[in-house]
Amino acid sequence: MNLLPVRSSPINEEQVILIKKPKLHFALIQKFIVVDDDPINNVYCSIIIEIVFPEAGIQTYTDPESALIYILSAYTNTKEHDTILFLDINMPVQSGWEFLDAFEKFDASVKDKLKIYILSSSIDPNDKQRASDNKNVLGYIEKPLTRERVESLAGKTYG
Amino acid sequence: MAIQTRILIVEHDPIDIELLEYELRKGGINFMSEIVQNEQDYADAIKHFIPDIILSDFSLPSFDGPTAFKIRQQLAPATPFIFVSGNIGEENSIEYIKTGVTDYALKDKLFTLPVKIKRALKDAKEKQQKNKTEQELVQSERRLARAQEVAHMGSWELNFATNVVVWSDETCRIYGLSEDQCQQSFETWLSFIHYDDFDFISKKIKESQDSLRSFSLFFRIINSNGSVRHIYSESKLEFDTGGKPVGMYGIVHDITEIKLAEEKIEFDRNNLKALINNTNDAMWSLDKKFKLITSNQRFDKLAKIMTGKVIEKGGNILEAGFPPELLVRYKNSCDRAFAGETFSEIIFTDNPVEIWSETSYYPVRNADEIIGTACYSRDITQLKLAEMERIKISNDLIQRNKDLEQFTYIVSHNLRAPVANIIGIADAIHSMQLEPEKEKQMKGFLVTSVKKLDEVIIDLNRILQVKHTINEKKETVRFSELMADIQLSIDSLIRKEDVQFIINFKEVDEMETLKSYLYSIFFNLISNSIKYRSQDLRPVIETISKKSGNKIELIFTDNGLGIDMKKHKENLFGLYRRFHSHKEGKGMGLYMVKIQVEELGGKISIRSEENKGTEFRIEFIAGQEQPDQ
Repeated sequence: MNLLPVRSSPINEEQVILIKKPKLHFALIQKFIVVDDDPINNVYCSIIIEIVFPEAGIQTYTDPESALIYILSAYTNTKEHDTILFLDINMPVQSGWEFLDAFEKFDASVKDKLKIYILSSSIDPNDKQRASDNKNVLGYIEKPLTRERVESLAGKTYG
Repeated sequence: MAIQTRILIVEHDPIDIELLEYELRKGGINFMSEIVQNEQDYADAIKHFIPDIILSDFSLPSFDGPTAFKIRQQLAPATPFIFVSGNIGEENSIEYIKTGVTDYALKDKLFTLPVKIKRALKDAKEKQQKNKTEQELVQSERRLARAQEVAHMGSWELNFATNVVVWSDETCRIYGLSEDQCQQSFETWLSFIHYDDFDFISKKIKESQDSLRSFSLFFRIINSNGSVRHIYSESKLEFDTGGKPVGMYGIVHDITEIKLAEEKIEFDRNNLKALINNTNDAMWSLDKKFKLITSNQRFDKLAKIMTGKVIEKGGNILEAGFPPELLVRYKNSCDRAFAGETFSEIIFTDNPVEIWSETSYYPVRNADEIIGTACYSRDITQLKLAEMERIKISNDLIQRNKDLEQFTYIVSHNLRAPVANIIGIADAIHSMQLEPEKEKQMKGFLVTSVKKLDEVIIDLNRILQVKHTINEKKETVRFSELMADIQLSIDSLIRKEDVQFIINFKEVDEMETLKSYLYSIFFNLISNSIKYRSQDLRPVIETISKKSGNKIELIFTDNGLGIDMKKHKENLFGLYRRFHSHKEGKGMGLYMVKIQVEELGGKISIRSEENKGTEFRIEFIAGQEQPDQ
């Protein structure tokens, strides 16, 4: 596990990312889901993702409960593609951790399709540790989401 | 069987012997004889034949009477010795009798012999008896004197006629006189009496004499060495055959040591009493049968309070009327002490009032045997309460610290969230080529986010202000008035939602407190209940007050959506916590309520079930001081 020190300089430098598995090479990421109670963040992320992947489908949820219901229905016994899911931690009604607890109970076939990254404004090392301990979480990204981050996740370089 | 008199005969002439024996028989003496003629046989016969009487001739060929007599003086001086001779001479015989010869008889008057023998034997016997009696008497007196010495008890006798008192040796010793001063006058005896006791004693003795009654008195004397001795004296009157009193006799007993010992015991007892009563703690001791040996005043007082009566010395503690649960425990502890254990324990009882006490047990030993236990009990209620208060304060501090940490964590998150947004958006606007619509959107977001940031800072300020020293003054706030004010201020909302209020402040309708805080608490709870109303039911909000002792309780109940307590148990009053997503809200209402309740010195708790409504319970201690900052 590589743990780089907390960022304190402008955005152009690399942000801290904890990656547990080796980089996966996606052929093409077709779908993104953003779960965050902050609507501004959701729109902002949509815009950023769209710039990198103009063709991708993007769904945002301010209510984690609704997101879970959608995932369950859309990804069970279907041929949905691999999807990247950005999950916030601090949400008032249901936190990111509670979301993950519920997600854990899903069928393996569902879980396989969703690549979850924590996207949070928290800079608390405890949160990062907790993320790395969770087997359904692939990485931890500090807000704000950048183009470069989205690209590196998908393995495509921006021309 | 007749006893034969054993007669030792010193004679050589056989005819004389025969004549002699003939006369003895004739005289009626039943005898057994041994005849000797020389010194050696004579001595042997005295030793072995052990004659009752010796009859000796005056002169023999190889022996003589006087020598025989001398030997008799040595070997058997008590045995009667009679000369039987022909020619002793009157003057000589008287001389011999003076020296100790019992008698003499002439050979030509042998018929006198039996009588002389009988007389001699009789005298000898009497003398023997007298000696024996005399000896016994001496021994008896010696034993008495020894007994008196050991007991320090002397005897005395007073003769009324002569007014002379005769003292025993021990009495002399007691008075400090030598044994040869044993006869004193009555006045002398009186003169030894201690000055302070003199009048009383002489009066008593005179009474006794006049009324012819015995006395027994305790008094002090100053003996001839000048020391004070304590005396016990008892007397009895002596009467003659006619019933007339002729004297007195009695004992004097030197009881100085006993008296000193008694005084020492008394001193020790008083000393002990002073020691054990000089404390507010209870001290008592029991024997192995649970009977009370000693107790101090405090114990007696407590026993009286707990059982209604005082426990007597020797009374059984288990039967005194203490509460049974207490007794069971106590008995077990005593058994441990009886087995030799020294220990202490803390006990709580609420009968008659709540008391914590620390009791220690210490086995009482007599030589090597344990005969009971000493108990010492201290009321540590104040200490305990202080300790509990300290623990409570400590826990409060810890909790407050945790709250503060959590508060810090939450606020920093809520500050960082809009900041992260601002960073991303500003960068996007600055360095990315955006379509005009998207750029406009982003600019809007920027403004919103900056405002949001400001809001968090304002919230923070509000919360901190609540926690700070309250400048407002306490006043009497009427609950019913508060309710009326609130209902007025949200009148349109109440009508819109068709809210029904059930208000009951009959038990208590007012409190000394800060009006604005109480108003805020009421307001937040009521608006929460309205906001989270059940969609199907007409909202009913019930507010009641209760009073018990110095506690005031306010209970807010609604029939709204309720809260899933299991899910949200930890964070009910958490900052920015919300339980229902479909309704707007920052999640600050309950947090503020909790802060404000606590700032007023109260406690708040929730009971709720999803779709079954919610109940908030607030508890205030009336008259409680505001916690200091």
